Amino acid sequence: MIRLRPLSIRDKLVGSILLTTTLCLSGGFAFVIAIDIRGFKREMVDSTVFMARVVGDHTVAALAFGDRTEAEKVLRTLEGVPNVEVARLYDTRGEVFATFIRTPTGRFPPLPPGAYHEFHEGLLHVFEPVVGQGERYGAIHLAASTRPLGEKVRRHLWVMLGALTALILLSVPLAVALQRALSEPILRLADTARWVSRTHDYGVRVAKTSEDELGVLCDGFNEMLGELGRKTEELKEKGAMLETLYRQEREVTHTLQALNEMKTNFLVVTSHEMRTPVTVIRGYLEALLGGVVGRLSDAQRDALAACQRMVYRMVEAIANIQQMLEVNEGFVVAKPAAVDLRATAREMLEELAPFIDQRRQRVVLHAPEAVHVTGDQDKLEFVLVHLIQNAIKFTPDGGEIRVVLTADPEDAHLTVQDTGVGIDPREIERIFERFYTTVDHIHHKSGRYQFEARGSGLGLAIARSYVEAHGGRMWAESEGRGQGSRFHVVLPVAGAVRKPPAHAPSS
Amino acid sequence: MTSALRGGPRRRVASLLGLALLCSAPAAGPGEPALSEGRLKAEFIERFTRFTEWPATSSLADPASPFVIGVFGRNSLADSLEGIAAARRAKGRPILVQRVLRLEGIEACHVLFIPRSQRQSLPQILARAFERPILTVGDVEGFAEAGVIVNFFVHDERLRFEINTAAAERSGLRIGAPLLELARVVRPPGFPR
Repeated sequence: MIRLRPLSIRDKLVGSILLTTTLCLSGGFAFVIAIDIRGFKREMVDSTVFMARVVGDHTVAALAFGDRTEAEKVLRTLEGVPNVEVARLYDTRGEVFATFIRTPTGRFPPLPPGAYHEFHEGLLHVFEPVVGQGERYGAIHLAASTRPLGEKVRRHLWVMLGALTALILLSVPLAVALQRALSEPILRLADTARWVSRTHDYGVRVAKTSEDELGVLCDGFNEMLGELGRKTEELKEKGAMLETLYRQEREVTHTLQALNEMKTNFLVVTSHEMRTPVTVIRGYLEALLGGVVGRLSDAQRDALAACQRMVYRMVEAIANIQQMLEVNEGFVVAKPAAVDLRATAREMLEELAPFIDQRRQRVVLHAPEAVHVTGDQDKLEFVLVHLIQNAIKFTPDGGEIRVVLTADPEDAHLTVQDTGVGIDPREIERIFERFYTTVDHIHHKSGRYQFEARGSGLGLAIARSYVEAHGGRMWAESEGRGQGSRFHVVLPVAGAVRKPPAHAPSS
Repeated sequence: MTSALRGGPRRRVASLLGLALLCSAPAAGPGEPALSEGRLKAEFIERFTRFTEWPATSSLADPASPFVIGVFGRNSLADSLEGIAAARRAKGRPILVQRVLRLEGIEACHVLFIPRSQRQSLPQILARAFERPILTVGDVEGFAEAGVIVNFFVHDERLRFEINTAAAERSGLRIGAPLLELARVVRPPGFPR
């Protein structure tokens, strides 16, 4: 079986043209040969019948007078006709009257009533009545060998086969010439396509040779090449641009990383270097205020008290920075223990009560039940203190601070709500960024407050890191400037079974 | 071979068909009746009429007139001929067999059989038939040379006939080629061969 796929289009075209030609020619020749063979047979029958009639006519008198010798003499004239093998004369009763036998043959067909012929086993049998002047005298039977006919047919077949072969051979160069018109543009297209895919040279073009579908194909191919060339150029430009951008980005990242490292180092060094002097200053201030070095006038005491407040702030700031550095390195709850949030909240509020009283603020703690979480007591205290301090800081005198602690089977929910300056909704997430401080909070109306409103800008960031280290979440809400704010902390309760609550938690 | 065809239909059992068998006596099957010599000669005479043409000017011009076969004198052949005449026609007419007893009766005949008994009167008969379209038939050796057109003889125990073509020509009759093929042609002495 011939596989057609690997053949080129040229071979397929030549093949199909030749196949068609061969089939048509063969069909035509077969038809002509069949007709010719029929004709040859007809000719042989006609000539044999004619011979039978002529010989028969010559036997009329012999039959009429019953002269066998004469009849046989007449039949013997057939000796000169080489393919007549047997000749027999019948009388009117159907009895054999005379015979001529060149080659003894097998069975003869029975005498038919009238003229008759048949081809049988290499012989043509012809029967003709013998009639003289309207009177029937008998019949003649000739058996002629079909060997000459066979030879003639064979010769004819050879001639026809030769002619057929010659015609097919002649059609080969014709087919090759015809297919060229069709295959050449296609092959040129294929060559160009191969060249383009190998070299990526989109500048080449296929020469268009005709205005037919192949011409359209060439045009389309050329257009496509142009488009491909343009697109490739664009891509190259964009690639170069991207590379530049990427390089720049990498440089920036490197610079930023270096800067960040510098900042961290700076903070480590600064906070470390500041801690000792600040501790010493605090000690001396406490000693002075405690009257260890002598009595102080009221003015002196006030000045020193102011200094002490500032020193406390510095201590706090240094502690914050160190905590921040700790969080930066990745804080984990080192020694988890059960923490009673309600007790902690009460404690913290008690500790901060003097500041609250000073501001004449009202504090409400709503904690209907004890809530336990697992975690680091110190860190959670820091979160609580920081939130309450913030509330005190940003709430005008006489405002209200509300601390609510609730729990469902899964989570502890702590809310610190104030009636303070509030937060611009656009900044509500940025307040958790490091070193972020709001711009104009100093100017809120109370004018006097225990804490300087300006903080280090690290507290909320640290608090959120601690909450997240405990597997919780922390976020802020505010209706806007002057509308107060609400800070939420959600922590998983100790030994919580993580499943939906049995009843809806009260608000 | 013959027996293979014997089963075929025998469409005609007319006496004519027995002829072939008689003539080839050795080949005749058992039980087939052989024809008498007289009957055979009568058959031959009837065949002669088939292969011979009479001129249109003769008494045959009238399509209604019978074909007359005459037998000169008294001869048993007339009986055989009458048997044939009853069953067959010649030249498309009924056959009339006539016993000719006087020379005048010759002229009405188309065929005239001259038996051996009329050997003495042969010259007169021939003189009377001279240049008339009458096929004269004899069965005596020398008759043909004497001027009879067709004359029977026996050769190899088979009945044969000879034809005097010159006499035939004179009478205005045309003897068919097949007949001449079978006959021994007799030419008068000195006639160029």
